[in-house]
Amino acid sequence: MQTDLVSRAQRGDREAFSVLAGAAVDRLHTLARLILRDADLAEDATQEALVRAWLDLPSLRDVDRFEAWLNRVTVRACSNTRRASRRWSNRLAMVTAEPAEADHSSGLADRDELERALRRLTVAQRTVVVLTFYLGYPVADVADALDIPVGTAKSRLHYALDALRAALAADARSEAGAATKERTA
Amino acid sequence: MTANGDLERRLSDFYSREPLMRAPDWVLESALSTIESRRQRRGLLAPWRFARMTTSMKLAVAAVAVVAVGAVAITQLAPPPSVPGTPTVAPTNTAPITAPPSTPEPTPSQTGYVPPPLSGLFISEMHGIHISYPAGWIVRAATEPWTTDGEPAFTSLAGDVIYDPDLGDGLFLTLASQPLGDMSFEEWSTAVLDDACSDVGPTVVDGAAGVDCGPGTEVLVSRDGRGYLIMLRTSQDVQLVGFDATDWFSGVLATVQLAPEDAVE
Repeated sequence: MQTDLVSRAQRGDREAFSVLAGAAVDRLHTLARLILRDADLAEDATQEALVRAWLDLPSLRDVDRFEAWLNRVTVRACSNTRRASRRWSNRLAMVTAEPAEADHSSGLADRDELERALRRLTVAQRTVVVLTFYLGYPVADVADALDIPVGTAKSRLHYALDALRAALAADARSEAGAATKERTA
Repeated sequence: MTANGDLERRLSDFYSREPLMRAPDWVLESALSTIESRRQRRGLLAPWRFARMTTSMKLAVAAVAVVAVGAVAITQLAPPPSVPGTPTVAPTNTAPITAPPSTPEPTPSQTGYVPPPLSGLFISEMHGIHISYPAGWIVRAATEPWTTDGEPAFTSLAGDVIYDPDLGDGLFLTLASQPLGDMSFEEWSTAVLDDACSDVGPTVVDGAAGVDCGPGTEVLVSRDGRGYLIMLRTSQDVQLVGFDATDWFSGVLATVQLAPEDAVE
């Protein structure tokens, strides 16, 4: 059913494409949100991904790989969107980088901690992490999605995990420091 | 249990609990409205035509192509049939006077994307760059200064964009420049590239030193306190058969003249 729609859309059938786009839009938006960690930019990136998918769909060789191809288009749209509004995004990052209240009152503390650490990664690093751990891509597919050599994908993931670990450790140190201050006060 | 394995498990667990985030309605509506007026790009190989072929069909097509190419080659290369009784002329190392010193006629297997010759000259008044570009390509000169540290996109008004009219944003050159201000070239180039280059190396354009981002289709250089960005963007989803972007871009770069004194401040 889907392959039929993809084939029709490749031949310029806008109705077929709108069905495909409607079915994919939330999934792509989620992917963009996880990569960009910004609601407005994610919406722009999702929109760009859908338009670009329409324009480039005739070049898709294997209709069975439509979803993976669409993910790749979205990853590239995220990168473009991020670059186009980098200055604005930096200001936003400064706002969101304010010390956030850690949620110790619930079982979500661990999640909150990871969330804050992920925000500290660069978009390039976070993209590799999302492709690997959210989409479950093996490194070869990550490399393919980003159009980089496998070795580069491996090292980018390695550095991303290192950066994540460092961010988690820094958070843990600052929380420990705050707790000590409270006790002595 | 390793620290690596622990973090990886945490990440897998974190993302597995991530809910699907509903996109606002306007995202889909706006995208569909945009494509109403946009025609799809057809790659030069039109790969969609082959997408549903079976392996045996593809092999059959390939065999026919090989036979066709062979037939053309035999027709072109075989000597004319000799007339009985006349002596056959032995081949010599001297080319016939009438034979043009040109490349052989292209066969189907050799055809590919070849940009037109670099016979156009564009002088960027906004950015202070002179550059040759392919005949027939469309120039959209910048109308705004480049003030952000992100690369100007295809649709940006801050970059001079020169593009193949048939491919649109599938193949285009972007030129932009801005004063370095208080930054060193290294700081500026790091901010512009934003960690997105896999293999940054040194380069020189019109005698100005700078860096080459990755596969050789994006360079940043500086002259007299002004940073220049020159890049060629290709779409990996558009089939540009036989087109060596890096090689072609280096030819374009060889025509560049940087004129920071002419740029708009």
